[in-house]
Amino acid sequence: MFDKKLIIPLLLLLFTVSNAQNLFLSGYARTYLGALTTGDNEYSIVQNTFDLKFEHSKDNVYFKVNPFLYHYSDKDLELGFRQAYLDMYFDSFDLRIGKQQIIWGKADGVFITDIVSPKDLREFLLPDFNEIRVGVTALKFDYYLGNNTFELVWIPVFTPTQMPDQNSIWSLQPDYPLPYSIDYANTDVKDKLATVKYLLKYSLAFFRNRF
Amino acid sequence: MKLRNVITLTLLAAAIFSISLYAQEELTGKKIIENVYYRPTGEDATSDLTMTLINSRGNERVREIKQYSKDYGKEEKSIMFFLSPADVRNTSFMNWSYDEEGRDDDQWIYLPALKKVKRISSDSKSDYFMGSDFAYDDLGDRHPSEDTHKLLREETINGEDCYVVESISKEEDYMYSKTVVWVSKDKWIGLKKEFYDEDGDHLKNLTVKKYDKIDGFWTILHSEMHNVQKDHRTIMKLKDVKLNTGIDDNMFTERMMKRGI
Repeated sequence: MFDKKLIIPLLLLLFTVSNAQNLFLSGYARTYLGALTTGDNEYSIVQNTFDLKFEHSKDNVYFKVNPFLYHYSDKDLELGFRQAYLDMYFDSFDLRIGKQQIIWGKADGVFITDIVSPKDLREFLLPDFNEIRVGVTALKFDYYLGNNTFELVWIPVFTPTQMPDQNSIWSLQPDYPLPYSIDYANTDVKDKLATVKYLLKYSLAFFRNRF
Repeated sequence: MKLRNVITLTLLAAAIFSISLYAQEELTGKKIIENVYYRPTGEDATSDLTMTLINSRGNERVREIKQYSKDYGKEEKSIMFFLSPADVRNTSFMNWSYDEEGRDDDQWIYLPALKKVKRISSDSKSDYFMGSDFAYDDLGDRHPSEDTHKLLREETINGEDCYVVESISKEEDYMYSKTVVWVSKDKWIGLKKEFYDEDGDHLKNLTVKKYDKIDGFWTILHSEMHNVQKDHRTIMKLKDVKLNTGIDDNMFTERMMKRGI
């Protein structure tokens, strides 16, 4: 079935490609193989990745569409958009609409205050940050006042964090004393007002050094 | 004319003459470096910078950068945006230098892979910038008060009369044990600079290959940093230099670093 969430990114992609002037295209293809040194020595990871970035900017408007494709030897083809958004720049504020990775905090490699974008942890923390962070469909508003930045994020659509499959080498085997079962019946989150997320961030940059 | 007036005038003239003579004699290493530091460079500048990295086997990597700088009198701000190749595209770097004595430059880098603006701590200023032969510290404006300067000699290089000045950092664990610079006598441009590492060994040479007067200001257009220990070179070529175009103050912000141009 065609995923409704892909409509906006596809339209953006179409628009970006049709405006071929000032279009910047970049991307990569990657083959990723992994084998366990214990056991049957079979490949534990066979993955081919294609990643494309289309960027287009004109005056105070900027588009970015970043489709990707994962091809596995033993799983279905995975196709999606890492990011697909439209930026609009004004004098004292910026607007970003669409599927986007939103990063909070300054720490590298750990996610302490970085709570906005869900994570794709199916390969643990090995992939690039760009692949671990899952884009959320959101509207982001940044207001600048001197060294102060106010950021308001509205996320109308729920995007879950992805955990490894039970038969993945990255899956944690929980050490429960008793057999347990998980009821998946209520995990499908409906797009309704109660699931809408609002986030507000305020940051102040200041510095003064003397040596 | 009364004799008293004649004596006063004579004394005055002698005083002025001796002051000017004194000033000429006292062109110290410090004064020369200050003349370079305070050489007028225009209110603001934009340019296209091509940075070519060449390793010891002669392999070249070319990076296209757009850069902006603006002089605010007591501080100078500059920002550069990497345009190509794709692996460094959208990386940006910002530097704020201060005239105030003892105040270090503030520097930031935005790496698109991390999507964060990172401030460069003073400990990291000896790290090399984007695989080039320039340390972060080399990209800022080093204040003359941070070093002790000594005029070594006068020398002619490429037909230019130069003062040769040695500068030694007052800070003990600075990355260079000393630097030696050749300063053009009539233009106050450093035409060549030698850097010595912490052990006192010759580390690298900065050579100015081309400069020109643009809108009345001497501007360096082509320079090369050569790390003699690794035989690695970084060539910086400026194109399309525009001065005093009135760059918006908002250009030199973290917002612009993230946004890019």
